[in-house]
Order: sequence, then structure tokens, then C-alpha cells
Amino acid sequence: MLLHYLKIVIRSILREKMYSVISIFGLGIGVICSLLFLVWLRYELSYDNFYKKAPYIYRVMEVEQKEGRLNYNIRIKEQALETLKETFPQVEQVTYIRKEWMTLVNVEGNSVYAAFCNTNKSFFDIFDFKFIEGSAENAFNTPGAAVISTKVARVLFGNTPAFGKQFSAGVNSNYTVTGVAEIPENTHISFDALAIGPGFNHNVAYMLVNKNAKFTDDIRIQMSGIPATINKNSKAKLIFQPLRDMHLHSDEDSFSDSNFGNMQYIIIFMIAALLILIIAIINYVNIATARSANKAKEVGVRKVLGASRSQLVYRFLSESLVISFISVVIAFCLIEFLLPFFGSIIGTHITFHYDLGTIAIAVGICLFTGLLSGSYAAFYMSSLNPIIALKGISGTGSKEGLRKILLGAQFSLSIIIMLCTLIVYRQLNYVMNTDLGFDRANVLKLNTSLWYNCEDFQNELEKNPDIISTTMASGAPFNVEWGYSNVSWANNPNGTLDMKFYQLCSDYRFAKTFGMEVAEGRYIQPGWSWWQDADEESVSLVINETFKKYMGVDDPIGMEINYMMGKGKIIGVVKDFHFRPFKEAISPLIISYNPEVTANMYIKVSSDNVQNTIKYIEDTYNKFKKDGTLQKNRPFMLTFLEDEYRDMYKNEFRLMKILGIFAIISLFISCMGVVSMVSFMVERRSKEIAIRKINGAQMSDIMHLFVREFAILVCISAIIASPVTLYLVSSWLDTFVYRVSISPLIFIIVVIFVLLITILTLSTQIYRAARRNPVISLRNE
Amino acid sequence: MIRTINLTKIFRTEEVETTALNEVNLKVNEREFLAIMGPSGCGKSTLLNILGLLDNPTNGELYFLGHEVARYKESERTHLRKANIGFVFQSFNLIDELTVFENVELPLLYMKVPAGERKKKVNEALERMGITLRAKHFPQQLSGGQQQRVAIARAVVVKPKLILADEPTGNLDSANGAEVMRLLHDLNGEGTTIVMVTHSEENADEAHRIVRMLDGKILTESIKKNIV
Repeated sequence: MLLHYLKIVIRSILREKMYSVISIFGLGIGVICSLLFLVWLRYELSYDNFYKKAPYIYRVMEVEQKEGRLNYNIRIKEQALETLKETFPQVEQVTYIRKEWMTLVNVEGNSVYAAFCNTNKSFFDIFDFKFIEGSAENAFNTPGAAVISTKVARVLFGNTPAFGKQFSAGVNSNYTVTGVAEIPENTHISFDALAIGPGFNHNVAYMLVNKNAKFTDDIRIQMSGIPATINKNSKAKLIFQPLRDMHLHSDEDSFSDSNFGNMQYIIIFMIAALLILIIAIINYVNIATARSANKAKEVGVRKVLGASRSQLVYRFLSESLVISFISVVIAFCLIEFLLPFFGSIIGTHITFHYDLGTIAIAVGICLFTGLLSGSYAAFYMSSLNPIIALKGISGTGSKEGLRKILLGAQFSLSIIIMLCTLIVYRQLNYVMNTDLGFDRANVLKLNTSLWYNCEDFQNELEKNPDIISTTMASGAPFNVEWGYSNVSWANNPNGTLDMKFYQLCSDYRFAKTFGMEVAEGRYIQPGWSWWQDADEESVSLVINETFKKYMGVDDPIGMEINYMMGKGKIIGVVKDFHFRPFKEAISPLIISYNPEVTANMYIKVSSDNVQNTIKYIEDTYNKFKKDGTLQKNRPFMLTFLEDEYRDMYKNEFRLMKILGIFAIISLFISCMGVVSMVSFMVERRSKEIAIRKINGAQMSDIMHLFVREFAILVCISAIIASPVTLYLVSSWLDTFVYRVSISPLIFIIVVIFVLLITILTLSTQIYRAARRNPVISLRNE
Repeated sequence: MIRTINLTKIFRTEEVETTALNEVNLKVNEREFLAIMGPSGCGKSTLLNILGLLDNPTNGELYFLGHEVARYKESERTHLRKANIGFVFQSFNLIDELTVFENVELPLLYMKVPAGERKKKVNEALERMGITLRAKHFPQQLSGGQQQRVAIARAVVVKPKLILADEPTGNLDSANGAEVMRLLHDLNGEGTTIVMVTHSEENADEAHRIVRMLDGKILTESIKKNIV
């Protein structure tokens, strides 16, 4: 019987080619979308899940409640880890990893700028890596031993074995390779080179809990009291995050690298992918319903000949399953080609394996799509009375209503996705083009290791007329990352204020380079040897207007401030600027001079001759490298500041790109829905068209007849889509403090656009039908 | 074989109530060839559908092979129908996606007959109808007469006790119509009971008995021949 069904399904696919292509193509697109996102979801869920002891590994962090929110600290003292291990028998092993970017050089002088990590001896007892050379057991048995990644081994030693070979890291540190390990992409425990070394209280800490021990809440509470940071006054408690939760369930300030996942976005994308699949399924159901009139005779004959209802259900489900199977096969053929493109959009490199999990995903999608798309036709058709079925059911009445509802649902979903895309685009446009209070255009960022004596280099650069200004700073003015709290000043009635504020360090050229306005007093001055005016003992501070507002004084110049880093004296006030992403309101800021942390050089250039200017910067850099002013093996790392700004909103850009693609796809599938629906309507109403023509209707009258119906449908769909969109985008926009307003004009534009596309799609078909000789249509009747 | 007592069928829509059969009393004997005649809308096809267990009557009793089946559920009717009744329609009702062979094979599939036996039975039926050479063709590739012969092959392949034919020659030219009547006649000669709805007096004359209907009632019955 199965063979019989397969035969009839394949023949009917071949017989009704247009409908089959629309069905398969539509479902194929839906399947590809959901498949890509499921593969991605699987990849995201696989993060740090492959370690054999993963269920028993925890990241140790500190958390403190401040200003109504939880502040995380991931830097844990090594001593605290040792105390944990000694005090609690549940803790089997503890380790840490401290990452520092530096240049690794081998004996021949081959070098690579890489993540060099310090850890303790327990590292490989907790985390198992695949060793290509050497072994985990003997990795750290000798002093100066280091395990390197296969990537670094290839750069430093080519295809020759790396084991036993030497390299240096940073200044005067030599290491011998005792192992080469493969580092998977889906882990946060990554390193390029790993050696035993101190964490300097600047490490990410992990612990392994004995798998037989009960790691209860009581024990967690006891463990959380261990003091863990340098700050003795801290009220922070230790918390223990399961390793497998790290990637997708971490708060933003508990990231140690930028590859952390975002569960919220994954959910949004999964829902969007599912919606695309549903739009495609609706398309199939719509076509299947339209064709039900043709299939009715078959149902009648089968029922007369003794088919039971369940046999008829199987008959139609087998059809939808075959079509969904073909779609899945097409999707699998295409996925290898689409993955790199998809990876570039979502910003992750995903590889695709044909394993059990993939097969399960394929079978799952095939069954879900096949059963959902086929069940309406299956249950409806099998319930038909054989006598009525044999007479042939006409496609009038409630089923046309149903098809319209389904098409309307497609339109609504497409309109929702389109509107969301446009509003995300508008917000990003706002983010990119709003005046931040400084000028970031044509600024290059040079990653240097310079601390002192960089002025010679700066002066040399500024000799080029295309280089307008240079400055050294701890970071870009739009993304100041160092946050503190607890600040007090003289005569403050509230004493010490538990106020969150940020700090930025820069040289005296910063305000000029970024075009910042000093509202009161002065900025950091040239000629300072350390952090202060030569005649002062306290740190000279420049604050922003918001800081001043918090202080509540008219003239803060000369006032002294006490904060964690010590004492400071206010010398100036700068106008407020957006030094954090638009998701945060402008908060208090302190700017000071500290050449030990200002390792980034920002170079403002003219917009002409940028390539030549870059060449000039590189040449000058190399010249100074030869002089010994610059670290010898450090590569030339020049980037555009605009890229860093864009990167700050990479999640949002990703959202926009994916929604944009979804919007095009959903509109395209909906148009296919229009094609199938119109061709069916034209077929069914050919007699009506003929009679109208005989009675004097013009082409435009016939067009109007159909266009009106679809126009009403699009408008109703838009009305339904609007509140849903409004809710969705409002909740997204709420994550921004500075945001665009939602203009009703966007809604109108989208509706007109969808309307135009729909009319364009249906007019060609109706034009053909309306031109047909009415006599032929009537003869066919 | 079949007996109806006060068989009534009323069709109801929201606005109209139509009495298609009004207390019909009819008996069909085994091996009989019965023709039902009457103007359009008199209830012939409704009666045929109920006799063929495709539909239930609204009122009255229906005996088929000794069972009272008027209140049978659809699944029970299906079960009884597929082993005992074959249908021939005016519009042939072949499935376009299936070949001649597969169309004839269909009832055997639903009876779960093993593949080897199916092949044998289908070939026998095709041979009997003289369409063996057309076994691999699709219905659209055949003439009307050939299509009706396929439909008859499909009706007889399970060797049913009863064949119900609803204007079997209605869509055929006279030569093909005569051929179809000859086939039905032969089947009846071999013992199959036949009930045929027809507008053609000539075809009706082939039957043992003619029942004439009007407005859902049996008007007259006339015996033409005796059952052999």
C-alpha cells in the first residue's frame, strides 16, 4: 500500500507541475531557514558541553547587589580558590586561566600575536583536550613547559613536530613545547599557549566538584562566604555557575570574551525561523485546499471501493510527507553552500556534520512539516461523503474563506517581520548617525604597547598634513568600560555616595582629537610626567556635566574627590557625551591622566588619501620599532574606529540582517501563495470572467474585481499585524535609553509596498485570464 | 439478496427539505438483472447509492444478504461493501494518476489480497474485458468505451455478488454502449446480480425486470424475462 501511495504521489507531483514547484519550493525555503537555525542552536548549546567532566565543572564568580542590579566580577583571587579546595571536601580541583595577548617567537624568529595563558597544574585534570602531540598527563611536569594550540604550532613550526621545541613569550620568558592540543571553536576555555603561572588576581576561575558529592544549596551558601577579591570592603558573595550555562546564560558583565551567546536573540531567531516555516506550511495547505476539488473524485472512488478513513488519511499525509521529504533533501543539498553565508551573518563559524543529531533534526523537520501541512487536507478529504465527493466539490463557500484567512495570516506575518526590520534599521541608523557629543569620523586606532615616551612617535605622525591629531587613551570615547562606585567629596551632606561612575584615562590631546568641548576649567595639560600637575600631589580629574549635576555644586573646579583609586582634584568639566552604548543613560564620568593604561593610540586623519596615510603610519611605526621604542615583535594592528563602534551593536546589526532576509523570504513565499490562490480563483471563475466580458466588461473591470479582494485582504492583515508589531518593537526599543519613535508612516509605507507587490504578482495572471476568448471558457464549462 | 421496507431518504439543507425516496419497497433477487428507470430527479441514483451502502436511509429498513444494514456505521458498511458490491458509473470514475492495471487492482489492495494473487486476478479481469494491451496506459490515454471497460474490470475483479451500474452507457456512443451492455449481460449470466439505473429503454429491455420511479416512489414494476 505504501508503494501504491508513493506512486500516486509522485505521479500527481509530476502532473501538476506548477503547484508542485510552488509547494516544494515554498516548503524548501521554510525548511532551509529552520534547518540553519537549528544547526546554529545546536552549535550554541554545544558550547563547553563536550568536556567529559562538564556536568561537574563550575565557573567561580563574585556577585554584588548594587543600585538595584547584580554586578558580577569574574576575577577571583587564587588564594580564594585554594581556600575553597582546602575547606570543602566537595571541591575536587580548582584552576584558573589568565589570558594575555602577546607576541610568541620561535628560535628562527617566526612570530605570532596570540593569547598566552597562565594556569595551575590542575587545568588538564578538569578540562580534557585532544592532544596531537604530547599528553595532558605530562604537560606540566617540567619547568618552562607550555602546551600550544594546533593553530599556533602551525604558524610557529609549520608542519614539523612542535614537541620539545622552544619559543619565547613577551619579555625574557622562554618555554618548551610539551604538548599540542586541538582547541575546538565552541569553548570559552581557549588558549593559544598555556603554561603554569600566576593569575595575578586577574583570572577566570573554575572548580571541579566531586561527582559523588552532593553540591547542595547549603554548601553553596557556605562556600559563597569565602573572601575572594582584593577589595576588603566588598559585600560580594561567591557564586558558582555551571560550565554548561556559561555561554548562553551569562550576564553581560560576566563575559570574559566577546563570543558569549545571547539566549534572547537565539529565541527571537528561532521564533522567526519557525514563522517562516509556518508561512511555508500555510502556503502548502492553501494550495492543497485549492486542489481539493480535483482530488475529491479520487476520494470518492477510493471510498466506494472500500478505503477506510484512516487509509485516506495516510494517502494524503503520504503526499505531504513526500513533498516535505523532497524539500528537506533540497535543503540538505544547499545547506553546505549556505552555511558560510549564514555564518557571516550571525557572526559565528559553524561547521555541519552528518551525524545522528543532524539526522534527527532532518527527520524531525520532515515529520513536523509533512504532518502539519498535510493534516488539513487529510482529515478534511477523508471525511467527505463519497457520493458528494464523486459529484465533485466546488471550491466555493467556507473553504475559500479559509484560504483567505490563511493567506491573510501569511501577509500578517510578512508585514510583522518587515515592520520589525524597518524599525530595527531606523534605530541603528539613529545609533550610527546621532551626534555623540564628539567626532569619531576618520579616526584610526593603533593598538600599541607604548606607555611612556610615545610623544616622539605622535609628533612624528603629526608631521604628515593628512594626520590631524593623535591621542593616547585607555579606550574609545564611546565605550568606556571601567566602572566604579563609592565616591565622596568635601561638604557632601550624604557622605560617601554609592554612585556608579566610569573612568577614562587619556593624554592632553584627547579632547582636541575627538572635538570635545570643555565647559569649565581646563582639560589635562601637556607636559605632565605622571598623573598630575607637577606642583600637585593629588590626581587631576576632569569630570563630565552629569558628574557635576550629581555633586549639586555650582563650581566644582578645585574640589577634592575621594574614590577607590585615591584622592583627586577636579580641574575641569567636559560637556556630556555618550561614552556608553545607547542602552545606557549618560552617567557620571571621570577622565584622568595615567600613561600606564593608555595603550591605544587614536589617530584623526583627513578623509583624503587614507590609504597613503595608513602607509605612512605603518612606515613610521616600523621605523620606531627598529629604534627599540616599540616592542620588537608586536605586529602592526591598525583598525578603523568606526568598526569598533559598529561592533558595539553587533547583536543589533545581526538582528537587522537576519530579519531583513526573513522579510524578503516571507514576502516571497506569500507572493507564491498569491500566485497559487489567484490561479485557482481564475480557474474557478473563468465562466464568470467570460460572462462579464460578453456583457461588456473591460480588462480594467476584470482586474478591479480581483485586485479589490486582495487589497482588502492586505489591509486587514496590516491592521492585525500592527498591534503585534508595536508590542514587539516597543519591547525591543525599550532596551535602549536613546531611541527613535515609531512613526505611523512606516506602517503606511509597508502596507503600500506589500499592496504593490501583491498587485504586481496577481496582475500578470489575471491579465492572461482576462484576455482569454470567452467562448473557450464557456465551452469548457 | 436485497429487500427494502418503507425506505425513505430526506435531504435537508438550511432552507429546503427534499424527499428523495418516499417509502420505497423493493426486492432484488439473487442472479437478477434489474433496471431502474425514471425521469431526472426521481430518486433512482439515491436508491442506488443506498442499495450500494454508500449512504444510509433516513427511515425504513434495508436488508442486504440477510443483514439489516440501514443503521450500519460507515466502517461497517465499507466492510460489507468492499467484498460484495462492484460499482460502474456513467463518468467511469477512474483515478487519473493510476494506470489501467493499478485502477483495477485498487479494490484488491483494500481487501489486502497478496500481491501475486492480485496480479493474477487483475490480468484475468483485463483479459475478460479485452483491454490487456492497455494495462500500462493511463485513463486519459483511452477512449470512453475503453475507460468504461476498465471501470467494469475494476467492478468485477473482486468477484462481487452484486454490481450496481449508474447509467453505464450514458457517456458512450451506441457501439461502445452495446459492448458494455453485452459485458454486463455476460456477468449476469455467470450469476452476478445487477442493478442498473438507465434512461435507455433499449438497455432496460436487457433486464429481467424494470422498476419505474417518479417523485421518490416506485410507480410500476414490469417483468420482462425470468431469471435463469
